[in-house]
Amino acid sequence: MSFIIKREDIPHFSRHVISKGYTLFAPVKGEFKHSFKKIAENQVEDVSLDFVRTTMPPLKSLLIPPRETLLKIRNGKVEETLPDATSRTAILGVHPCDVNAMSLLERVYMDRPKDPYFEARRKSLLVIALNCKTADEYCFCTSFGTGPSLEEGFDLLLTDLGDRFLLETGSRKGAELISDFYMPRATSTDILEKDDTIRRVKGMIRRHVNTAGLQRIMIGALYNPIWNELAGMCTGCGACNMVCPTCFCFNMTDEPELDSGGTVRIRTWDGCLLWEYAEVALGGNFRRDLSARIRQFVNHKMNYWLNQYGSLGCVGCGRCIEQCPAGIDITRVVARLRGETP
Amino acid sequence: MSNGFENPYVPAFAKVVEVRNENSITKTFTMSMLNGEALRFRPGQFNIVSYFGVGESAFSICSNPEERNTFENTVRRVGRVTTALFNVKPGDVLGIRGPYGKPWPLEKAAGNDLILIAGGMGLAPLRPVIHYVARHRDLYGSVDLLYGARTPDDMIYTYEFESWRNIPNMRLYLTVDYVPQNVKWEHDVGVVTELLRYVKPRMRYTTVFVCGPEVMMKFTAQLLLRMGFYPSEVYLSLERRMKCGIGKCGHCQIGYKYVCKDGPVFNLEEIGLLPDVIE
Repeated sequence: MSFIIKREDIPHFSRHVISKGYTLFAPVKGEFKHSFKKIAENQVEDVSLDFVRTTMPPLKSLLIPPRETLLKIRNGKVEETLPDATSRTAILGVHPCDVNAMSLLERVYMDRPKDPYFEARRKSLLVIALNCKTADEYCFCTSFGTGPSLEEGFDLLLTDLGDRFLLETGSRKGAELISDFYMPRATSTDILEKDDTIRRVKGMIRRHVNTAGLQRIMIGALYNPIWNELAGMCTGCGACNMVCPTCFCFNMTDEPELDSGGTVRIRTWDGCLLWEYAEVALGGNFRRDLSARIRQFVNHKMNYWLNQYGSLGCVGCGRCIEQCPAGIDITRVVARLRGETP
Repeated sequence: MSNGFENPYVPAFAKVVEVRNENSITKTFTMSMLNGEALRFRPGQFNIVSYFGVGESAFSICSNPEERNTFENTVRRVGRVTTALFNVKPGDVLGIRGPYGKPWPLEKAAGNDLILIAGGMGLAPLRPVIHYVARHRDLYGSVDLLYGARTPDDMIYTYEFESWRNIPNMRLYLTVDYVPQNVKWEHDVGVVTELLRYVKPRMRYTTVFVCGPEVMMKFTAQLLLRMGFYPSEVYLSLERRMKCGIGKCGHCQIGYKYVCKDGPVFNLEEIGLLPDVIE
């Protein structure tokens, strides 16, 4: 079902979500950029849906926190510190690329055996997505069909029509949330205007990855000199891993729990660009060279994901390009390997 | 609070019942699960051992798979967790997850001759194979174990070699890189691949299992292929950094394979086109 919500009613709508028992996260305009923040009832006026992309904190933090306690072990007992699956979290204003990235994370974490920490968080999450009304020079979602609009993976979906938003329901959970929030029904004019908007945004996207037969090309390029060339630029900082919405790797470590004398088992984000990532005992390292680590990053997204989880592992959000201090651009890497001049 | 989810990160507890010194930097721990259950595993699988407060590490399960009351892990002191494990004494309790991973293809190899090639600690995942073969001797043809180590002292399970030699139609060939002064050594000196000259494989009726350092497996695999083995007949057990053991943490990936769940045992056909492997 489709409804219309007036632009000035977004704070009212946000307050409604909170009143339903949800902890609300929504984009807020900062000094330079928008970022997702927890919205208290008296902050609903700060919610701002005019943005291309948020980067920090990465939205995936809501599903896999950068640092999380998995277990507490004391006196011969293991306590599972699972998130409360009955809690409710809503994210308002998630762009299609990020909604699709969450679906990709699901493939990893919900593959058997399921990760119960991820599962609890995913189940308690309500996604109010927002189709894109603009794009910038880093966007390339159209290459993967992961934007600028969304067909599935949301509970509610907003499309910006200027003075008003089109609101579509995508799940029972979403429909329930708005069942007692009065909005007029959308008309055919509204629907057609949405189509125009999406068409216009598609036209704004200038960056592309040609995915036709890409896997064969990537396999053929495993020993291409380009990886060494990129290693000369890359600093191995791992920023791409941290901001990538589909990067899912983690580390597990033990820390002493000071008050009880027990142990806390922690997991923290890890990234394949980091030196320690493939390190083993006695100083062995299976990807000692930066070239091997860059090759792993690019190939994982553009090649291995397909075998592992049935689709490519990139959603074209552009963050790794935007954030790379060395100016490495995954779309140009692919274009060069294809022999295309971008 | 379990919320009704099965949590794969929760370790079970095992009590250490015996600690054997293999050599100055290697120990074998015999353990039994505190809940009294058997750790059922197949030769080639691994488990993840916790020393609480220090962390987890993955080890091959190296005992007889048909021994139900206990299981064993052999540990070489090389890092943080293994150094902590070195102080473990009988009666101490460790955390255990697993068994994990794809085992050696013992069913598929039934009826064939076996060549087992091990380097150093690489004998650990092959020891269950030897015990299994000893119990089911009629399932396999001849069995040749080719074992190399840096020095005689670096060899593990030497106390079992005599009983292995007594397994019908099984031969044991040993080599070391060098023999320190005043050490008695009546076997070969040289790399393990040189031991292959003692073996006359019945081609197409022989399966080869290899485990050892990456560089040893590389040269062994190359030689085996040149001898005429098909890539599908040569199996390697690989080692990678591993955290979760269940295909989530990402660390053990080689190309699109996860060593923890697609391996650790792979044949050369499976890993032939992948990067970051025995280069």
